[in-house]
Amino acid sequence: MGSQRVAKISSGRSRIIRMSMSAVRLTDVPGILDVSPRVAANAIGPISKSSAFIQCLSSASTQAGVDALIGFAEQLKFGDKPADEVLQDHGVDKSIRRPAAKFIEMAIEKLREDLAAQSRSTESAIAVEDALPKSVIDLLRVYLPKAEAMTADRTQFIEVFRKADARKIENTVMHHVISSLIDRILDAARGDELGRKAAKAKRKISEDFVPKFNKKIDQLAREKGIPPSQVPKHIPEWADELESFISKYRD
Amino acid sequence: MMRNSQTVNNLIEAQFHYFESGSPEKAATIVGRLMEPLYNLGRYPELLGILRNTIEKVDDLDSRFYIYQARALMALGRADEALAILQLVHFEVEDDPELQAAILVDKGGALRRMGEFWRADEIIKDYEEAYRIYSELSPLTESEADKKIFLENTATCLFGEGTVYQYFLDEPGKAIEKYYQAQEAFGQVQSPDGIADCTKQIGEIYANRRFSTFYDRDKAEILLKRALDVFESINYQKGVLETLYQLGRLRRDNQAQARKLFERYLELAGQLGLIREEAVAKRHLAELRFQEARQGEPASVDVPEVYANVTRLLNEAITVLQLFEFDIWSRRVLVNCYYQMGLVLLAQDQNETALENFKRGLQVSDEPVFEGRFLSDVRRRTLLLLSAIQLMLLMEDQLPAIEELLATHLADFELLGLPYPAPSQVREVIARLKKGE
Repeated sequence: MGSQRVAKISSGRSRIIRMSMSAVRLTDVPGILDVSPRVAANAIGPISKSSAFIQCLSSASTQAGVDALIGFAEQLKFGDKPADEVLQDHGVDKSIRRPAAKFIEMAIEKLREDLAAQSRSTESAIAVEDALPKSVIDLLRVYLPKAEAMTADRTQFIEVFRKADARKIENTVMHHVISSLIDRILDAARGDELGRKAAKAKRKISEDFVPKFNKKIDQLAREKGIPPSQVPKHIPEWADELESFISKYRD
Repeated sequence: MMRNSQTVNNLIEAQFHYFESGSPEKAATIVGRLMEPLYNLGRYPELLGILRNTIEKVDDLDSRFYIYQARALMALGRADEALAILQLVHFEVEDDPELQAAILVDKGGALRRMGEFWRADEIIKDYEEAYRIYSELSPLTESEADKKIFLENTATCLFGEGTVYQYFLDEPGKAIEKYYQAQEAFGQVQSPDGIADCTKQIGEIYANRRFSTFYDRDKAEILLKRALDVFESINYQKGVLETLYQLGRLRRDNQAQARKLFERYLELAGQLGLIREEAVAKRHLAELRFQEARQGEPASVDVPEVYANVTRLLNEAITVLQLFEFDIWSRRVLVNCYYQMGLVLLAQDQNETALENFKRGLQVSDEPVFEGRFLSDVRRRTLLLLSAIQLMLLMEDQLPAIEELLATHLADFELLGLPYPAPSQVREVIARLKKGE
């Protein structure tokens, strides 16, 4: 069946990858480690009920993203339909042996359909589109041996969503929505000459700052007894607490 | 390109040492350097094992690790798993055009290996898109080395397009045109393996009787040998292996020569740990030995012993090939193994077991992967069908079953332009099919 030729990956790219791969190496990059939380806090800006960042986080798009995954998991766990039918309802035909990619594709399509036309191109909608695939991949990696996660077959895929509890799913989606929103703000703000540095800062922010910020949201939700599926819409109510948390990172 | 086995072995040792000493991040850095050379050396099972270990033990690996996991799986005949990985990684690298292009190229390869011929246009568009991306990236980099890589990758895209025209669209002229364009670009970056790969592909087209306007055995042999010389001179084992296979097929009329080539192919496949290719070699060797025994060559041949040997080879091949459920090449060879096994059993007057094997072959050749209706697949399926029917005609009360079998394969006769055979014509139609008519 002929040769299998593959594309080479440029050395420039490999250098970036090697430099950003471990925290040890990141310390070699002056300034990045120290400033990344501050960069993130400044990107988010002052938090209030009506601030742009909080509006995005609590938007209908974010809620739809969280609902998409929690809803699917609950249908598998508590619904009457066989798992194959649930998958079919989510656009994954029985002939598809490894359903993750198709599931994501269809979830994004449904998200676009469900959102009003004016909401589709908002920052939050774009962030949720970015977050959905990453969330599914993360969940697969959490509940399956990591080397098998990306090739999950139907049984494994279904099992992951049966095992994943709603709060884990919500936290995962929120993590990626927050990361994506911060990335977009940084992209809009930076000049081209900062490209490589920005990539490292983004990665560092996603690894260190975002989990802390997300954990704060999770803590507030638990304290106030908010179920995971309702978290996005309650976020504006916690603006003061979030501002107090984030202000310590700011200039 | 790092093709020095000793250097690669040192890196393997180093990553192992770092994992053992509890420094997985350092080990991952070494694995990151090791992936491409190990892939180029054709040591896919080893690469896959190292990547599995790395992925299990290190968090937040970048996408390249998964891309190489997919590449290793694909090279090992597990194209559906490779495709699943590539589709997911594609979501993760949306802001990285270079990796997106690399994934488009790999996806094309996976879909081709899975026999998804109806997606030929989509695959070609993906190659064109990847070509566009690499062409646009080139002026943006100041690094001469990166410029060279991007140009080489555009050649790889053209090469990929050529394979779709060759294997999916049956357009050998268009395929050759693409290979020549790719070869020119590989020439500009002085990529001997790229140039030789194109030579080999063109040789394969000239070797294929199906492409009647191009069929030229002598030309094919010259091109394949030229490619083999280059691959051997640069120690490009993957290329050597693939060319030995093509030369073996080309020389099937000279059994002794073909046998030598397939024995070499078997040995190299074994060294590289490629069980699918070993199985393929065994099926060809089985066929050649069976033919030799039938012709009484050499004169001293112990026919029962040869048959026992052939049966063993085929059984070994079948056991392995059954595992490659979604690899169209493996499925084709599996069908051929069942057919060959049927013939060996027939030669020993074991009609019932022969019939069982023809039916098993027919069952595999009815799988969805063969719905592409490539004429060669249809011909193979019809040969099995008629071989089974020929035996069933000798048995009692088989007419309803025969009618049912024929009824489910009527379209095949239409596609091949063959008469719907009366029982008395079955033998004649089989003979025509064997001649490739």
